[in-house]
Amino acid sequence: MNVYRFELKHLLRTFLIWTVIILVVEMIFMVALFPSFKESEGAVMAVLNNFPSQLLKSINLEIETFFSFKGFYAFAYIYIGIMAAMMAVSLSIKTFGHEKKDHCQDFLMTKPITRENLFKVKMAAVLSAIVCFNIVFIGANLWLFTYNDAQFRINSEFILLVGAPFLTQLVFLGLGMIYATQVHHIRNYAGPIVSIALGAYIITAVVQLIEKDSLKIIAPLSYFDPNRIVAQGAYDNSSVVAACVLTLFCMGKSYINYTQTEIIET
Amino acid sequence: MIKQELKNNRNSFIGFTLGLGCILMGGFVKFLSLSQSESIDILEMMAAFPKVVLAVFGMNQLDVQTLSGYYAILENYVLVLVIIYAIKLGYNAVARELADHTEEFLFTKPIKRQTILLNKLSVGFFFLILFSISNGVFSKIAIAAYGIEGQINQLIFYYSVVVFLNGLLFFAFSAMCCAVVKRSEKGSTIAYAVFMLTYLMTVMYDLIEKVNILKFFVPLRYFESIDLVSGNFKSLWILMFIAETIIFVTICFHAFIQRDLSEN
Repeated sequence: MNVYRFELKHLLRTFLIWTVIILVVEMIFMVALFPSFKESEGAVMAVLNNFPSQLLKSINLEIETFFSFKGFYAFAYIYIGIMAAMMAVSLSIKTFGHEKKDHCQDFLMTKPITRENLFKVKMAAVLSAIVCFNIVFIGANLWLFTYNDAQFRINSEFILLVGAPFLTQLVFLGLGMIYATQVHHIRNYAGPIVSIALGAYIITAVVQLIEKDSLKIIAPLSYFDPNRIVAQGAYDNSSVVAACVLTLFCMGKSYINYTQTEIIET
Repeated sequence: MIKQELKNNRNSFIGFTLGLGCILMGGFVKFLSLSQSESIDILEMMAAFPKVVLAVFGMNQLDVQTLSGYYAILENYVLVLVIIYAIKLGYNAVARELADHTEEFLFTKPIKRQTILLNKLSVGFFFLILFSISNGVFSKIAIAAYGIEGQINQLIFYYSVVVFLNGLLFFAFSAMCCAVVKRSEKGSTIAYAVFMLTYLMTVMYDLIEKVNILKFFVPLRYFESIDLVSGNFKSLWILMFIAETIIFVTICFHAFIQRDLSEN
């Protein structure tokens, strides 16, 4: 329990900063940008009506979803997703790596608590931080959706949409953990955090650009792609499987690393 | 000492260049099928749309059906990559020894601090040049390997220059941050945070009409893709890059020389 409390306190600042940033960015998108986007609907429709209908079919455009609130959410998710991912990596590296970075692993390991338990407690701490964030995030979105449309009722689509950041964060939690438990040195946090998250972003963007479905399993930010939810009302099965495998692998490997690696002071 | 530094940075250079290669070689896979399909001139009709609509379409004023437009989109990701790399280089140059607690050894050697920093920075500079050259080379190879028709040598050259300038700017900025703050790891955190902020502003810049004032804060858009694609290279912005870089480097030297070596 002491460890749990300590870790939570340790994560508090990171948690608060990221929660505020993500919510502010989402507000910018959904409150500041969406109205002007919506306004242009008429003008765009006028132009699109001149297009041959075959062409419209070929670019696969559903005007109604395109200009809907959830459609815009799916667009904004590109950025919210990266930030949520970054937050998860940052929380997990900070939890599992800070002793390594401060060269004080040996102090922690000599305490009368098994490494297995330490791992579990640390894991619980990060998970609670992530769950807290998502409660706030989902609450904020509930407000945004109702604010935009008074008739709005919670449905499965909404749950899938706002659940996407949480599931993505679980994947990135695993990636952060495996980084923190695998490397020998941690010099600073920011480098690995940004590299992992933006690396995933670049991979995802390129995979989406070349439109190869088979490559989707290596694009961690599109595992729970809201565009697909808006279009088809469900996550992509193979992506979900890939996400589960990746997350379980990372967590399992981290567990083994954490409980078995020898502590080398350099 | 330069040799040592070159060796220290070799692995991450290989890693980042591999990433670069993957983006360019992988990215062009799709272009093949695109260019073969019948091209429709949607772009002209859409020119009247607001920026934000185009962005949701995923278009951003660029015609993905032309080689140059497609290349510009890929290069936007390369820019992100080079900036991450540059910040890492800047951190390595200024703060790595401090984090490893080896700076005391280095500073007792009979070399001036200026020389130390100069050497370290020039190694980073060298790697950035190498990186932008590889950008050009990989682009050529990718286009040749897939047998894509069309000449975009000039565009490749422009983009290599832009990649280099952006890298240089953030390299200097990151070095400055690491030199100025007391705890060096904070320096790289600040540098990355500022990068994320500028990236966010870039996104906003792309979405909102008529925000010219923002342009000064978004190095990623000093050269706009649309201008580059049409061969309109606004050289004046190079001066902007150089001026900012010089300011950052000067502050960096100033702070590095005066730094206290106390253990944190």
